[in-house]
Amino acid sequence: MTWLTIATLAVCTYALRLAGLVANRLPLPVALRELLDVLPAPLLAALVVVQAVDTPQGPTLDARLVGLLAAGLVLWRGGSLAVVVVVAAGATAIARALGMP
Amino acid sequence: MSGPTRYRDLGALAVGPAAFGFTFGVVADTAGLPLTMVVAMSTFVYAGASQFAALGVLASGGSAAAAVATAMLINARFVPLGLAVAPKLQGGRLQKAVGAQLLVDPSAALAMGSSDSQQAHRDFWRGGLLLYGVWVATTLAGALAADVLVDPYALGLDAALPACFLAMVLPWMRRRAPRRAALAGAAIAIAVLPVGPASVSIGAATLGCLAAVGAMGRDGDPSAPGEGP
Repeated sequence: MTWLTIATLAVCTYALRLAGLVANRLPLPVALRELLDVLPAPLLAALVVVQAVDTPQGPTLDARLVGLLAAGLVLWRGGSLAVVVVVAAGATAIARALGMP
Repeated sequence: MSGPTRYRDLGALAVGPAAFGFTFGVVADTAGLPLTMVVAMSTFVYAGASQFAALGVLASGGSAAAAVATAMLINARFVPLGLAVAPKLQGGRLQKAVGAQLLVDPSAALAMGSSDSQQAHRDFWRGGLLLYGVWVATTLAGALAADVLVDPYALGLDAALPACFLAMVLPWMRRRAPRRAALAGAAIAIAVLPVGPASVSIGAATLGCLAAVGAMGRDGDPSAPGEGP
């Protein structure tokens, strides 16, 4: 992370925010709106996968998966994000303490 | 809704982003970002999912361009959100320019949730300012707390990031079109990850949107869900 990256992120994000607010009178194709609506879903799903298994040495199955599974259970039971994060980290820590990589 | 219920609602709305902001602070600090950068990201970028995503791409060895591209694809939803909120906001250009920075999923949801346009305008600003303050403050708190924590790896904190993404993707799974896109995106990422860098597999997952094309327009409510900013 560099300051230039942060500045670029900030400027581009602000531009996207402002774009919708000032361009609400422009007629956008319905198909484009629907695509923008859905876009975060596959990106977030891919990030779950990548962050769960990726390492600088390539994909590996390790204790993070135990944490992710525990997080899934908490989410399924309707737990809040704070609980999800604590349980995911806790389960991963326990799995590592028991000898998992 | 009015009076105390309204304030309680705003408070409840801020709980999710508070936990999320704290987590971002911890994770970003653990990833080696200096405190000033962590706080600057939350102050100026102020878009949780994309902040995590940019961090994730860079942590996985991706380029700055890939990090920005991924973050912007996630933030592309601000355009339709802004389009939906714009008719509810009063005031001139300056107010709109400042209000734009407060546009996040929950503040947009507040504005879109009120049928009365004056109420919608008030809710957007009250909720927006509260969420912004909470986000920056909890990020700072998380980054400071992370310095006290000893071994983030032994504490399993590297599992916090995928867990957050899981929590963020789940609301999308309720509707048919984004669910298809998410499952296709995950499948693409799994397929690409062993043969390409992480940022490429994340980028390739955008093609998952095409899986949703056939299912669009059948779910009723088109508004995007969102846990945090």
